[in-house]
Amino acid sequence: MSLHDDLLKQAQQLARSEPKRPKQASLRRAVSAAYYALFHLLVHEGSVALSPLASPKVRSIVARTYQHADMKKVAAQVSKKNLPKPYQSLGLSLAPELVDVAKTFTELQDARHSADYDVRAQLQRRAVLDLVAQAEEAFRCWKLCRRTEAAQVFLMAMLLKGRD
Amino acid sequence: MRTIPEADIVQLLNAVKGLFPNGAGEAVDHWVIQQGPDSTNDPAIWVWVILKDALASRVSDVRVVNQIRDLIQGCLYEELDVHFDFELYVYVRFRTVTEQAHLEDQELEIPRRRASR
Repeated sequence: MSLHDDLLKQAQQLARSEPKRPKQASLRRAVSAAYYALFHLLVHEGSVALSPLASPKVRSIVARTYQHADMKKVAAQVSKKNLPKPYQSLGLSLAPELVDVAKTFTELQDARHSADYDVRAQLQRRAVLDLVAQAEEAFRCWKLCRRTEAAQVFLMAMLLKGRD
Repeated sequence: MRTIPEADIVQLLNAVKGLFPNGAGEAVDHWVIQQGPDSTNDPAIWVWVILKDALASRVSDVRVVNQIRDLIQGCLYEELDVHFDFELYVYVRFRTVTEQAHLEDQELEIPRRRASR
């Protein structure tokens, strides 16, 4: 299994651990794992798309250049059914599944930030299960739209944000 | 960051909940709203949909969750995004009445007063 699949599985397990009284540590790690599952899925797909003939070592260099904040800004635009300005003239239509992936990525990044850094936040199992379910759904949606040109542009735009 | 009068946001949300799938609109007890910059310093509104405990199962399927999210975001973007140079992001989360009351009892930094029914 890939890193992103393993992280998603870990999120599912953590969100359901301690059935009677979930620990904040478990719930917070579940949210973080769910976000990083989707993050690594998109980074993996992006590095393969941008360097299809390269070795895994070279692709890992590409993967490390993805920045969380840049990815979020692009995802937030795609959430509103717009590609970033440099790509709008391509006239591409965005599959609903791609918009869903973008929305979930943005949502998960915000939730992860709170889970990892806001010690005052009190996470609840229901909300965490919702977020993990959204990550699962995003994985499903990505499979349906990943071969569209808009999805490929999405991956590229997240890497090139600010330099395109 | 500019803020929108909470009553205006609540009015928009109350208008859109009639469109929620699976009878989920009837499950809404009230809204809790927070505004401010998000983790990337972009303008944001967080909407917690507080669900009646007995009807919360109407919002258990992820596709229903996503549809409600889409409806709330669509409505708020249409009316409010222009005030934020189209950089507003709307986050949508769900809690039950019991969960919200539990949080408020713990006196944590969660919006304590209900926005409206």
